[in-house]
Amino acid sequence: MSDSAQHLALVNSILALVKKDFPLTKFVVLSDLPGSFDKPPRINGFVPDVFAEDAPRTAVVIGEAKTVQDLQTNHSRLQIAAFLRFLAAQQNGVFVLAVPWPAIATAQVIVDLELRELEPQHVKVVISDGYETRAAAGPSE
Amino acid sequence: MTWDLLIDCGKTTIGMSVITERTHNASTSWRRDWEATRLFLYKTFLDEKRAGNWSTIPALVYEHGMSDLQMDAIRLQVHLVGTRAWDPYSKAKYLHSLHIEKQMPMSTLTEYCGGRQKEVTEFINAFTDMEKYYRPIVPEGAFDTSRFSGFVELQKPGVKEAILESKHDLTEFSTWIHEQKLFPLNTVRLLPRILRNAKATEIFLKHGARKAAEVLERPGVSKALSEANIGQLAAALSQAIYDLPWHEARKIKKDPGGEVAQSLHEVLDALEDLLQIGEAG
Repeated sequence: MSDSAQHLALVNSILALVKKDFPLTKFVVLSDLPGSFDKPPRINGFVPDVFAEDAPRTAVVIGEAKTVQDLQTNHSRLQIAAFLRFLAAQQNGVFVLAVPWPAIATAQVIVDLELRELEPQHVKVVISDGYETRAAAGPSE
Repeated sequence: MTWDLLIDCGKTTIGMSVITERTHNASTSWRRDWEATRLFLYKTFLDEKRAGNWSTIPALVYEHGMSDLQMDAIRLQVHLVGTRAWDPYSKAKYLHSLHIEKQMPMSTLTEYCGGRQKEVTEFINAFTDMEKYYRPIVPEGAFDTSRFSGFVELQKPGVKEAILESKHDLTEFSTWIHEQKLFPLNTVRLLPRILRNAKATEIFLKHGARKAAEVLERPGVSKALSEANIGQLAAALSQAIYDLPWHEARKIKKDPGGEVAQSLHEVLDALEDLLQIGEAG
């Protein structure tokens, strides 16, 4: 699978995961896929692959897909840090990072390092390999 | 004057339409205040013998069985995304009422609004914030719905976060709006940069965002630059980007929260707004 095809598959897996746990009856789910009418907003300088929120806002979800090659670039580190920083300021933030399975451990380390810097109180992180069915935590009632 | 006399199916010479529903006794009920307002105005004009034909209102009469949902759908399409759009505050109030009070699913709401998902959530969130933080601080009768756009700007990522990070809150934001410290309302976008700069914050709290922005702007904008038109500036910016040395481009990319990157994002936002207006027009 090419990098772009893999990226696309990972973005779709995030969408499936998000739509499962954050129903469209309450949430607006935006993606940066080709042909999307409404793109996710730019957050601290970066546009995520997936963005979901409800109104009035009780939870915000940011989803980002990274191929193995992408994950360890400086750009990705900055991007992940920017998204986590934004989510840390929310009442209830969820970060979904989708990577191919061989990169799961690396992804976890990168996220842990960034979280340590931020000490976020309200961020939940889901690291997915695109197949895993682990659910993202829903908004707190 | 009875309701029936005012209904004249198919008449469109005045270029208006109203949503009505024929009830079981063949009279026509006016289901919502908006239609009733138009009826009231027509009756007033008729009573006052104003010039023009005020005895009929062109109407499309729906036979019974029209559900509230169908009526809401028509109203959304006409007044939210149609050619006769309401003012932004009224749109937001209606969206809020449909989603929160009537519990219309978000997916249905956005579908009726032509897929404008971001706009729908922004409007509902802006309405919620305005009611929660602005209404309590303004004297009765001084609630200014034209300030609503400021609360829409507040929903852009980074604005609320910057306010809270700088130890201010949304009640203070509402006071800034009320006292016109954030005027014009698009200066709300500058808040993250202002609040990160001590000098700019001090000026902002005393004199407002416009004055504070002067501190943020780079000194020494040449006469030629300030006199250039938008086309010339666009061409110059494109050229400057093409000519940007690799290491400088890398520096900007590495620091997306930095001054240059933020200024570029502001330009990008302004361009997107401008080009959307072009499309709509």
